[in-house]
Amino acid sequence: MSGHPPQFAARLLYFLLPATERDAILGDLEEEFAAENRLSLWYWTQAMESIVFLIWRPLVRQGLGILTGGAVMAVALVLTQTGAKLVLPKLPHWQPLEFAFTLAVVGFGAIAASCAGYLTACLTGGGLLRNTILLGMLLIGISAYWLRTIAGSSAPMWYRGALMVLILPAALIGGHRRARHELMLARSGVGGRKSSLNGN
Amino acid sequence: MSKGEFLGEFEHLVLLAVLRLGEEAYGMRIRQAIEERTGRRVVIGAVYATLERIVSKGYASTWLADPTPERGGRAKRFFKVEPRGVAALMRSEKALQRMRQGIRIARSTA
Repeated sequence: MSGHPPQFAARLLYFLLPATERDAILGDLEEEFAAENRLSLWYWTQAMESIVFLIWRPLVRQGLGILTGGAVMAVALVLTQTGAKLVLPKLPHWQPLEFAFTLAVVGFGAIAASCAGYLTACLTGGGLLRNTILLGMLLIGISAYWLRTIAGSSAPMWYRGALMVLILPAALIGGHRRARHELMLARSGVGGRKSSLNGN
Repeated sequence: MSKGEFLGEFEHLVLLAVLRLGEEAYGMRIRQAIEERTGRRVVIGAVYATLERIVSKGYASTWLADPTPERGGRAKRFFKVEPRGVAALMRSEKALQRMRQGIRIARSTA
């Protein structure tokens, strides 16, 4: 038993915990450590396991949500490419329709990015803007890779530009739609999120 | 009714602890109340992670009190169960009751 909690564990928690919860958690641990004459081992165990619950798990959840959104976009792009390869050669005189087809592919890409944004917002919960921007950057990366390696030089420049420009706003719109959906559920008293500790 | 409207086991325990503690419902007391009444070891981080989820669902509200010297000048974060939280608790209790109806749980069957 000792009079003060282990300083290193307390500092570690101080640096790792979100600012909004830092005081409450460190204060709780310090109060119980002193009032109940807890061992340093107890403090360390509480500190390390709290890091798992409050930092590691949300990080994994956020990463999985963003990766799932990225996978949706990748699948959509592969399906587009496969569909184009299968359908277009079978159409007689398809060249005049190339512009309309390319436009439809851009629209499809934007819809896929929007769906990815919605899905990521569902899976990750809080931090909507940050998560959607991270997702948007991942989607831009995936699309750039796809345009460079798979779509090849046949894709017109305007198509590349339009897809790149539309992806981030489309992902943000998808995330925003999810937030509105949750707000509607919360207002109707069915469920959804109203606020969070981080927001207070 | 969607899955998100039902309480998880730990959410259930935390909400009951907040109700039981009333005006004294803050992290450390909630952790101790669950540990004392259930006999299971509880980590403060798990309590706060669950409370964050409960608050985000609108089942409870939270506020910070003034800092106190016995906590090294750190503030307590208090919690209060909101009517939606009470409704969620009642829903879960009813669901459990309905599941238990007609079943006799005996040690010999375990």
